Amino acid sequence: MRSKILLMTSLCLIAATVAHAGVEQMAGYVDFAKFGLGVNQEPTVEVNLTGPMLKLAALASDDSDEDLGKMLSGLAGIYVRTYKVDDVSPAGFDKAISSISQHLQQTGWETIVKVRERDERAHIAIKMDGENIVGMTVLAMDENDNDIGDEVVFVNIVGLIDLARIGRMGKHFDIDIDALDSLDRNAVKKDTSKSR
Amino acid sequence: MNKSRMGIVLAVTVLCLFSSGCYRAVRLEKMGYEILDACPDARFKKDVSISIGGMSWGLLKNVAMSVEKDDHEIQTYVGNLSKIEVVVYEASGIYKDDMRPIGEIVKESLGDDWQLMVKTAEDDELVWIHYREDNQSIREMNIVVYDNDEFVIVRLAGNLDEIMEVALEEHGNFTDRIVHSAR
Repeated sequence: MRSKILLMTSLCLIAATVAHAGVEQMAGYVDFAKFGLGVNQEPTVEVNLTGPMLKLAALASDDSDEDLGKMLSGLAGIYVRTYKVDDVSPAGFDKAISSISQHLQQTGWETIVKVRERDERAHIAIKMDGENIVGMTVLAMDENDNDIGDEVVFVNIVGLIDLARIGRMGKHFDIDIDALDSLDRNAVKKDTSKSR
Repeated sequence: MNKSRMGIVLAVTVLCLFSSGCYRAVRLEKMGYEILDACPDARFKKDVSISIGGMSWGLLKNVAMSVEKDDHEIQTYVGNLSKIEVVVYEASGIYKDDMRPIGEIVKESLGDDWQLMVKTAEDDELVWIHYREDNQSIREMNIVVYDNDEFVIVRLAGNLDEIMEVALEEHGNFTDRIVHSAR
């Protein structure tokens, strides 16, 4: 009896480990920690939504916004890291953004938005699998005019992604990045022009 | 009252006290002291420590559910919880630089089967929300909040899927809601 219980427990533990390892093995996953993020500075916001939390978000959205619910149910993970950029750290974040951008380019990600202005830096890339978008990475650094200070945001969305709804999802999850909204609008424009 | 009846009443009272499930939240206190001891400038004093489960929670649950019969939200929250533990410290002198050691202590104290869902450090408020799932369902949540004069740890257990679903349906943005409800 005891050996059966031990066997069942081991199987459950292995199944749980495999389920979590699953997202990290997917093509759309990017491990930001590999690029030196968080070594010298803790994120001010860290969000990790996987498994049951995403399932719940999809269920909750289903009633109010069926499309969004459908999109969320296709996702496997949403990871957000926000850092405050102080006087010491901009160079470090700049380096991290460059390393991640370079890694994405080398591993078959397509850049869809790249902004490099005096007070803003953004890079949005998607990972395709055939016709489907299976991953999205948003790297954004923004200079604020107020006292709050500059912020740098790293977002990785893993799973089946619908570009036309990504901005709406960003709002839903409080991911406040201008480039995501413009992506949303551009995708809708593309859809409209296609239908004409 | 004769001696035998008195004995029965005493035995029942003692039994009720010990099986009521209303105790100090000892494990959360331990986590709290470990965290606060790790913050070099922290000054703190324990204010509240309570763990409600078992019979006490069953009683409270029935009262709350009969009083708030028409409130679906309360019915869901109360009906699906099986245990609540809370520990509150009056505390000060905890800073953003303490985030890393605090995060490490919370993680170590909870164990490998807990996952970090949200961590924020904004406007002098620090929040960590961890959850433990079982068979794709959320079974426990651990919330740690410091807001300049109070340090709070809350542990919820039960069928938290339904609670989270109602919370998400009833209240706007997701992470914002989680963080604010934690506060």
